[in-house]
Amino acid sequence: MISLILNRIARVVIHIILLFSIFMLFKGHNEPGGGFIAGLMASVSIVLVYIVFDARTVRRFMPVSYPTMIALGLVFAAGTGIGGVILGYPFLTQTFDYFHIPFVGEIELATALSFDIGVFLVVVGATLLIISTLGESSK
Amino acid sequence: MFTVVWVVFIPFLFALFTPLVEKVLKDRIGIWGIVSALLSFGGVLSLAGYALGDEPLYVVYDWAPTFGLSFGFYVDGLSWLFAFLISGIGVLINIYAYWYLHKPDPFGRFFAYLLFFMGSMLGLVLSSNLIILMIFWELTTISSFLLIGFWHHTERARYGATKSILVTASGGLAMLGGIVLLTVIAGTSEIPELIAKAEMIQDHVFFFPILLLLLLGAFSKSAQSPFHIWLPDAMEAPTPVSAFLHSSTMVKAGVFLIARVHPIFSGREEWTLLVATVGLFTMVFAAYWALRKVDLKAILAYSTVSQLGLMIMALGFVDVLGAKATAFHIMNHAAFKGMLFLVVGIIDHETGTRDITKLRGLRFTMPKTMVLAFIGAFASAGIPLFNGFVSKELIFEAAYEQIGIAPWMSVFPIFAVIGSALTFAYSMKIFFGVFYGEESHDLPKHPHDPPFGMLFSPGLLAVITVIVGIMPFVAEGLVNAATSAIIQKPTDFYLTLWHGFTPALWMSVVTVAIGLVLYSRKPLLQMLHSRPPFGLTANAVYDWSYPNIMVGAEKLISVFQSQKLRFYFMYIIGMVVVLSGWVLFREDHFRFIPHDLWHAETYEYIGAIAFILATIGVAVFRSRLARVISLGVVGYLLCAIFILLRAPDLALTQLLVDSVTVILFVLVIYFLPQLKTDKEKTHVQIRDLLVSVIAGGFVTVFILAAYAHRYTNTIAEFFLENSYKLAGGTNVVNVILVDFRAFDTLGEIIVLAIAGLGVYALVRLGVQRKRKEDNP
Repeated sequence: MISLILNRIARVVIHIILLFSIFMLFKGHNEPGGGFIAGLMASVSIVLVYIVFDARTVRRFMPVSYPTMIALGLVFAAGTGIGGVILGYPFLTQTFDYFHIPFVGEIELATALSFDIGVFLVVVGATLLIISTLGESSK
Repeated sequence: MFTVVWVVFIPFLFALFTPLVEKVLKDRIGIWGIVSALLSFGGVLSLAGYALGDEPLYVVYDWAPTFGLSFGFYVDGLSWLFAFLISGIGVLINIYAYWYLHKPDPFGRFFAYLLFFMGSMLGLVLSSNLIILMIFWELTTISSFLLIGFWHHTERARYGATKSILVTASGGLAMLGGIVLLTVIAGTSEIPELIAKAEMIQDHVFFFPILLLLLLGAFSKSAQSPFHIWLPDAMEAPTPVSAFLHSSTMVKAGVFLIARVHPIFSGREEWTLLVATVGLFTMVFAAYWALRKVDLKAILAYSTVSQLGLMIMALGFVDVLGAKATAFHIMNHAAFKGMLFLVVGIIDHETGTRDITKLRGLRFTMPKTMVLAFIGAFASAGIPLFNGFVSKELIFEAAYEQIGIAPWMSVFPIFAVIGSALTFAYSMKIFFGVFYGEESHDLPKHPHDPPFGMLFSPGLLAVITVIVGIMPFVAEGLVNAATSAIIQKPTDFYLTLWHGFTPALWMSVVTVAIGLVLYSRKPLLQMLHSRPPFGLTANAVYDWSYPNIMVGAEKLISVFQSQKLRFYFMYIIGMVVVLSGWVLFREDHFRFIPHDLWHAETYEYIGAIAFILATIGVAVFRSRLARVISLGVVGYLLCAIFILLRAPDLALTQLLVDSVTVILFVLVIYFLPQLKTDKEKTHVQIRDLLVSVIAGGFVTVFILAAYAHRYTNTIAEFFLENSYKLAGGTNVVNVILVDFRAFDTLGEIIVLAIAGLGVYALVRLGVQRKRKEDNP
């Protein structure tokens, strides 16, 4: 039996952790963070859903299955590398540039980000796949 | 420039998208295959200028320049000839297979495999780099494995597939050794550069080992004795596959390799001795076996082995003639043998059997097929007016020339005649045995000619066979180009049907005479059939060693895979201690600078003590949950240390990893049975304690030693300096992960992905099995 307090808190906290993990993912290039950390953080928030609610809630919450997520992540990461090859650079050559967007200011876009998204997806997919597999079959 | 990349990758791309397209095209997925093959073929045709002209096309893309690896393509006469055959016959085979397959065969899978093979084979012949060639070489082995095992519900297909991959991949391993050696001594793996260094390679001590290893690969791929055993069993594949892979293209990869390295190795005696004699032996031996067989496909399989032997023998000859004869015969053999296979496929398809003792008198019911079989069999027998005659004549000529070089070499013309006489006999047996005689009425199906789609491909090959047979000069340009690519000298010769009363012609006459005697004297044939030839065959060796190797491998694995986590940890920790300890000792780094080790803040002391206590807790607590929590405490304290050392990224990662680990552990504990005996035996405890103390002590010493040897010039400086400049990121840790060392990260996430899928598969399978056991 999950306590009412945990239930109430979780409803709020889960969203915050998820949002924060995405924040971590995007700012990872310049400050602490990055795909790996963000991926773990997102996984923890979803594990919280598993603990507080149940697997069905998670399934409603997540549009894709974990193996698909892993595959997507690998496609992102490897695709970043192959993109360079198509343009004639060695595999996994990364590049970056600065863009100016009105009202937002200057932002940096790096190909490393798409690689990091790949890492993020693989980490989330693999962690949750392992936890959910073990968790669901232990019932 | 780009065309050559296109030619190789189009089939791969099409193979990749086959499952998606199959949803739209359904049973008509064959069209997808045909389109892909046509695109590749078109690309190959547009490259003709490089092959037939003087200047070959040589494109190189960087792959891993730091290792001197590049991804290059080389189109000259030889590689173009092969690419032409592969893509051209690929088109015909795709068309034929469209009509050949039946429900419930998985069509999509078949065409995906077929295109996968076609791409690999094109890559093999077009690549300019031996290492790339090797990769494509193994890809063809894998696709061949998949295609032989296409009907994997039959025992024979599985056996054949396993055998083929074991034999050819072992050869491939030997070849890889040869390629590595060659790359090391020559400093390059680019074929054009290697050819330029031929003299140096020939004088090197490693010349013979390299040659031997490369030839092992080539011989096993091209089914040379004693590695030929896989090919007859590969005939379990659907017939279009046998026609494509196992007669006209893949098995010629060995011939291709030998032709490709011809300018590097030939000229030394070892070359002739190895190449020509193995070819000679295989040719005669396999032709003899072809005559003994009664299954049409088995006859053709041995016949293919024998013809490959013939080509390899000719490549081993010292002079230009052999190269020329081989180049021409490669082409001709692909046409007539591919066609014969397709014809046998038709016979099998329409009558339901391939047994030559059951098939008789098909001339009444399958007249169109008979015409095709006639052309194929007579071309294979080497009768004038068919292409097989012209190239066989050239090989005879080349063999005859060898007598002048050394007296012992007169074995070549003699055995070439004997082998060809056997070939003549079995070719006649195929044609007259199946189509003449009393009409048989006990066939599984009522025979009739097949639909046009199945006749089209063999029909086109038949037309080519006859045209080249009557007017050989049409092939002159191509054969000249291929020959000059093999010997690396421009050649200019003519191909004609009539050479005058040359020794080669008399050899042909003798061949036909002996062949006729062999074929028409039934008692002689009977004698061949009745006597079991050899006690110890290569097949017996394979069948004996395969199960034994399996058992041996299991025993070997069980030595170090004890299936106990404790032992795996001990191996890992032991190796770390031994290897790094040895390096420290060798480099004399057991030196420490005097340093006040005990100087620390109070809170650091408290942390350290908590650390130690938690660690002890992990070892001594009885309850598993308590141990897990204890372990969590260790992790969070480590996290605190990272914060103290101002490493926020590490601290964050550690914090999260620890949380996830604790959750995982709790879940796993659910699974595990209760500990039976909490008390281990004393000697086990002592051993574990010893290992722990050694490992802990070593790590302490290691850290102190490392502290004493702080180099000012570390790689960290580079990262710190260039992180923002080169990668535009100020978080150095992340920049290293995703940019400087992105390749490592890619590897890591792949490992993570595999681990995740592995757990998923194992647990799911286990749960399913348990459910089955519970309610069967």
